[in-house]
Amino acid sequence: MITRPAFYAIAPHTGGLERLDIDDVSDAWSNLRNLVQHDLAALDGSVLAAVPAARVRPGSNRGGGAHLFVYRVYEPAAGSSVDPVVAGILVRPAAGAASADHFNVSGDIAGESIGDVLFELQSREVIGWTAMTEAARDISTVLVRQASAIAAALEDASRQE
Amino acid sequence: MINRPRIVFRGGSRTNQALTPRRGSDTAAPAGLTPGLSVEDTLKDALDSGNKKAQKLDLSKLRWPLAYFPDNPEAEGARRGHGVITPVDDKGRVDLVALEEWASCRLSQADTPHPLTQLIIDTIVESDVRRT
Repeated sequence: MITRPAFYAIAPHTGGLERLDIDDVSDAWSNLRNLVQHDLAALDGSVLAAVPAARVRPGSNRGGGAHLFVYRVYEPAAGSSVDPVVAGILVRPAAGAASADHFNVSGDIAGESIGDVLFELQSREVIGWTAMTEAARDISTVLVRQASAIAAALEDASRQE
Repeated sequence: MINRPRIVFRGGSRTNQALTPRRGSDTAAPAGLTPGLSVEDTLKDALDSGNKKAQKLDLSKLRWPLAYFPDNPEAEGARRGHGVITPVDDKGRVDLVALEEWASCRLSQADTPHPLTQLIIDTIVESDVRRT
């Protein structure tokens, strides 16, 4: 039998993100995550063609002032100490937003541990779910063209984690 | 008691893995220092040099069983402005078993962060902070 530590019972803090507590809206974030993850996965083929030993680790999280952070991590060959590279899209409330559907959407490619920014796009402020989804997918489209930058970073021995 | 904001920085991206301690380097510390997830008092120290980013954390949002320990200035290898976030027991002592368990999940998180990683995420007050 697996005994879980007591802190597993701690509910995640969702202060300021109450809108996410509504089931159908939570489903919408989940759907957006799947959509963006699907878009970003277009990077995999090109990165793995350039660096065959690389490995892909998709993920996401919410909280800490963000509605959603969706990412794919590209790790160098096993045993390498070169820092993995993250292609990620962040959706958060727009600064000073008066309404819950006023979003800031940004995306970049950066080192996972050292945080070196390899490629970035200017963030966009949008209003409404449709515009936000389109912005996230537009940014994904640009990020998936940066496979060569990811491959180069994975082979750059100066990028030690 | 009102918890006043106490800001620290964690260099790197806001992936679940980057906000989880590593086995070995973060779960063991030299004598006099505390093992855990490293954070820095200043953005400058978190970013080192070059075009980099970090996550800005508010320690007043940190919840049990996590706690912050600044480096003991008298310990060998201590750095001014450096500290760690680590799990503690109900007496406030570092919980090495919980820390090891947390670190052991570092690479197995996809869309569901480890509960302690989620507590770290919840302390973020600004994502992807850059040098101005």
